[in-house]
Amino acid sequence: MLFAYHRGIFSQTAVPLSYNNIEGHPKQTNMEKELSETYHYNPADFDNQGRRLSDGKTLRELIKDFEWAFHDIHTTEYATIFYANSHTMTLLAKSRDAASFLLYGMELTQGSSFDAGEDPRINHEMDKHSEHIYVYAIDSAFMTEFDENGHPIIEEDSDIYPLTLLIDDKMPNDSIRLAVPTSDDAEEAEQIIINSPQYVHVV
Amino acid sequence: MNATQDDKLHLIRNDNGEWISDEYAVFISRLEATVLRVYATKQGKPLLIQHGRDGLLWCYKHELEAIDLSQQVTKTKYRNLKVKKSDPTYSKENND
Repeated sequence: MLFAYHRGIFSQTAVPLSYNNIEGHPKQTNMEKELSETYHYNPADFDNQGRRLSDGKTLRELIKDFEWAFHDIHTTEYATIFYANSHTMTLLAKSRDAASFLLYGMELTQGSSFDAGEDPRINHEMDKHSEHIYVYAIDSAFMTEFDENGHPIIEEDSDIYPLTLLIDDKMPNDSIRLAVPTSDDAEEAEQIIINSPQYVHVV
Repeated sequence: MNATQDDKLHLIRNDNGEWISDEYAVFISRLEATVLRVYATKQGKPLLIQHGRDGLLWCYKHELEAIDLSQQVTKTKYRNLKVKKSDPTYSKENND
């Protein structure tokens, strides 16, 4: 279902993009079905705008390095989930010059791992009642080509998706965790993709 | 609980590569974008025009709602400068 989440929510074929939560589809949790790596950085090396004091490198750029390192370890995979605590998430937002009304990351609601069914649904409800606008994901480090409108060009059959942001306040300040759902979910995901709603432009 | 159509989360990407719920986006035409920019500038309100797929434009709903569209945008009034033709024969010495 995690694959389904990514393939559905970040569909390249529709505007607006669709969420895979198909009516009647049984909810499942995916707490343990992911491949993850933990990386460390020193928050003291960064100013409050997310720039490294020594060379000005942004925290986002550092995390891109981690995404590449993740791919180096798991050569057929790309990280699609980013876990960090609130402090790191805020620093990440600053490092990307995010607008002040944006709030990075979904809260984990079902434990310490992303639940592709419940977490987006519950965070969506929280989002509606928040003074801020939730940022559910950011572009992946592997989105390097853009069309004339500035949108990333992604091959339909590639495994590159935006990086979903999850807040895990049990994590220490100096840690981030990158993850990708394991292939155990792939068969189920394909079924959901077929049933995903299609959107057409109405402009 | 099954998600209803209204509950479903649809994401849209802004120009900074951030993916948010499309509930906060209002799609606008190029003409509307131009007019809104003028209103926003006149009123000193922020307005970030974003670029969607296929050339679609959108802006944040809260920024749009903060703009008073009932106000008439008046033409900028330029001061009429009176230009006095200078006298080429004029000099400080002549004047003395």
